[in-house]
Amino acid sequence: MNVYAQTLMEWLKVPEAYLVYVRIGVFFVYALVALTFGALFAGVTSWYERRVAARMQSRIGPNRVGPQGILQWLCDGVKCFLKEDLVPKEADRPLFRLAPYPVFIGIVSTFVVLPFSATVVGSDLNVGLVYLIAITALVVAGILMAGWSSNSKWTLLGGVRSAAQMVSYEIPLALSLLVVVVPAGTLSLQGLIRFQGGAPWNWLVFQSPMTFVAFFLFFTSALAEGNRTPFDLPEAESELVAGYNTEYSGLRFLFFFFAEWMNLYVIGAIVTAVFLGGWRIPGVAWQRQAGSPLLELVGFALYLAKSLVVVNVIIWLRWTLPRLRIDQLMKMCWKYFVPIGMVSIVLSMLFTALVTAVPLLGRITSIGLLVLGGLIGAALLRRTAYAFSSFPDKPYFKWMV
Amino acid sequence: MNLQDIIVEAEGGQQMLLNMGPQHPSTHGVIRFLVKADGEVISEAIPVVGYLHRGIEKIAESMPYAGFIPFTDRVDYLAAMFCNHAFVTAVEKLLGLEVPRRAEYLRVIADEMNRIASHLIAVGSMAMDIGAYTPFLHGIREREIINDLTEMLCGGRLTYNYMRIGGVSRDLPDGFLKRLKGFLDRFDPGFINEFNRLIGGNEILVRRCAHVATIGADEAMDMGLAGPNLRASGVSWDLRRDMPYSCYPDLEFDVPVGRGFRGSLGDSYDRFMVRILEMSQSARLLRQAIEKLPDGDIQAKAPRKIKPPAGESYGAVESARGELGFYLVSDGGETPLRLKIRTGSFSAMWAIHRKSAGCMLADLVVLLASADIVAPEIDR
Amino acid sequence: MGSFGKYFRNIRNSAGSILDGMAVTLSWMFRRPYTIQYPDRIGRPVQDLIAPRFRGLLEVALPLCTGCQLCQRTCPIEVILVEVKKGADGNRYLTRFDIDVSKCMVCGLCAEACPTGAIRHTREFEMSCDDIRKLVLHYVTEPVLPYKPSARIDAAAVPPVGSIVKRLTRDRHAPYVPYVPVEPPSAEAPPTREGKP
Repeated sequence: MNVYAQTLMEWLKVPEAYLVYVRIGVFFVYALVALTFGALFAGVTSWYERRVAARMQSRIGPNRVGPQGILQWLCDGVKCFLKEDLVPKEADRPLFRLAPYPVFIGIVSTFVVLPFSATVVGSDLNVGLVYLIAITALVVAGILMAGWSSNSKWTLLGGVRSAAQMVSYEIPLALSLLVVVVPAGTLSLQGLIRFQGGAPWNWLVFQSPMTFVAFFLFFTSALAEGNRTPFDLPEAESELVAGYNTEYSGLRFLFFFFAEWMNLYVIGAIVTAVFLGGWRIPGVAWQRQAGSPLLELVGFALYLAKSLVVVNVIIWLRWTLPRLRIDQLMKMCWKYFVPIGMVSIVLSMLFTALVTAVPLLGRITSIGLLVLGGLIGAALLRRTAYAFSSFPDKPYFKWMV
Repeated sequence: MNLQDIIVEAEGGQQMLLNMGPQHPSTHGVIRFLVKADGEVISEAIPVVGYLHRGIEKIAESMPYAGFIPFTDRVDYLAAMFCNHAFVTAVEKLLGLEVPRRAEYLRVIADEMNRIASHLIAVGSMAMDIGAYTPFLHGIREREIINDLTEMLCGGRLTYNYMRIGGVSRDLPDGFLKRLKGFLDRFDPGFINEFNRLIGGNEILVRRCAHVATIGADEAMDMGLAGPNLRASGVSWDLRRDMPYSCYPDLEFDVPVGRGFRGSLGDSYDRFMVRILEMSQSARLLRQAIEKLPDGDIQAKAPRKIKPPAGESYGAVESARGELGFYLVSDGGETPLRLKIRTGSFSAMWAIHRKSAGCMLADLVVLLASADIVAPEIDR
Repeated sequence: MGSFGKYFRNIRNSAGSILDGMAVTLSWMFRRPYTIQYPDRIGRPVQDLIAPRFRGLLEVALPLCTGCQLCQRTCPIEVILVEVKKGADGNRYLTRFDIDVSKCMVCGLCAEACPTGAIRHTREFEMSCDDIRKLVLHYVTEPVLPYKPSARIDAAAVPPVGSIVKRLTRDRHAPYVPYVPVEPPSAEAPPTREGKP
């Protein structure tokens, strides 16, 4: 963004003294654009998720409001706007009204460090990853406030469960990111992307067995942070009606839900940036990409495509898996994820040292892990083919119904 | 045990008193639970029933026998054929009426189709309560085919009013058997295997259900459980085999019994698997019944106005939820003197009350779902 | 060592069963949905999709009604109201045949009891309206001579199944018009053989 501020300065022929104000202006515009992007993404994802979920369940999702139902989320949003602003009688009014905002701010603030292409990033903090983990901790505060202030035992349970879950899963989240930081040597997101290459065997996910494990660890921990199935016990419909956001209606409810869907994009973006090569184009050096707007656009499209694949997988998992009980969730975190994360960091350090000495080992490992990833994908495809063949319904690809 | 006393007692102590109220997404109807919990762990879950009481047994006292059959549908609307069947069996016992063979086979075909439909909802909503929403809708999709079949047969999709005193009301329409065979070919083993792959063998579901609310064999019998709940605890008791009625003696089937498939004997996972296995057995029964279906009348010669002689009778069938029995006392008039309905879900409520101690809140939901209760059956 | 093996076997079992589940959902994502987009995207009237024996709204084919009131007696919840009055010329006339659709549980006992099949179930079910009084269908609008079973009747005189109730429910969104009871014909007004409802 500083680059753009600079170019804008030169273009407008503004004296140097006013650089600060131009910078603030550029940041403001960027924040607006990023927020709009996030909100649009959240809305469209809600429609998209409903369509995908419906097709998995042999039905059609919303397809009436606007072409193919794409304006459904707008109507839901407007409906929520127009609802009565209910605050329960015995609830703690200031806290109740305040609670959606930390949740929303926590998620939206991550857009500061999320890169969209080689030069388009809010502010490429050199502690980007740490900033991400820290700022999403605001969500915990918001959820606790929501659960407590609604003055209902059910919401209290939901809020406390959610807080425990999120706080616990921040540790494997951080550990798995550290596993990746060891070979890359930098905490900034743009730095991590520049360290990787465009081609799959240059991605950080296939760089060593430890980063491969860290990918799954991070993905699962991010799901737990985002309260998505199989970790959505705090908002489990069948147990707590809606957990901490039971008493919320209208716009406040929308804040919680927008935060959740926006979080989908954030998870997808971070996973892509850290593990899947970000905006790198195969065979193109990042400096060349930073110089050419066309290549930047291609990079952005690639980045978005990879994030969308990750978002698709998250949606797919939500509608396939049942949810874990709170103690099983905690057990998994503390007994499985944290030890694996810690061991991975140590092994990653050893591996990095080894690879510095013998670069060929790194190449071989990448190719080997790529093959392993392909095998897992092939196993999935084989099972899908079996599922197709074992039931009489034929494949049908028409989605515009 | 008074509501006020429970509240006072709970507030005096260290425990939370949670109200899993009449409206709740997972109580399978309008049932209320007062849950005394110490954080996540429940010490007691007291059921409060009666929210769906409609006085069906009292209505029977002023309704002629033939006119009461639509009301029996509403006793358990997910397994309505069984309710019809039990009632007409009780009346026929009083009248000493013999039902023609073809009518018996048609009754069994209707019963077993209904059992599959009911179990699909049972296992589907159990999966849904545990968090997997897709298997429920797949089950509903298959159940739609059964609904279409019963619509072809008797005109109703949920409340059938199919059986009459002395037989059944309509004979099979053209194309019914072909369509039923098509459904069976698709369902067993294709759908059941796919269901097991989707959710039955899913590690997370197994972890949620195994070792949860284990009911031992003796305990199950003491609590008066019946049906899949009892069989999952290891007790091999099935009215169709042990106190045969209708044409079940001619048909061959196994009775699936729980054996601790992935957890302990009599836990929630056993109840889940027993229902899935029972669906397979129902499909087997249906295939045999289609093959052995004799020709003949579909209704015996029953008097125009049904006035059974004074006496009492008990007609029971093995419903999808346990033993469904109608105890009928007649005084020789046009309407019963007293009709009492014994349902499987009502006995399960006591089991839930006893077994909820020590469960976590999430386990209570699993216990409720695995016991397969429906509120109308409890309250009638 | 056994516990180590168990640890990793747990992970592998979980992964395997999750992949299986994901494969099933993926396969269903690319299959034809079963939804029928009623009422506007079906392509034919929805009644064609329903089985012939479906117990929908009741209707009465007055040419066949003998006025025996068996349906009224058989109905468990007293939904049907049939009135037969003597006219000035000494004949019995059907003056009222009301079916309260709001209470009817479509059990089919009346249709079974009817000796001529005058009262019958149709495949119509679209009856929602905004006033509960409109849910009482009045099938007799002018006095009708009941059908004598010994008389011959032309099959064409009996309207097709569903047409009568469809005509009656066509105006269900119009404002409510109170029912005017029908009187049997007095000496001046000549009787009609069949009322046209």
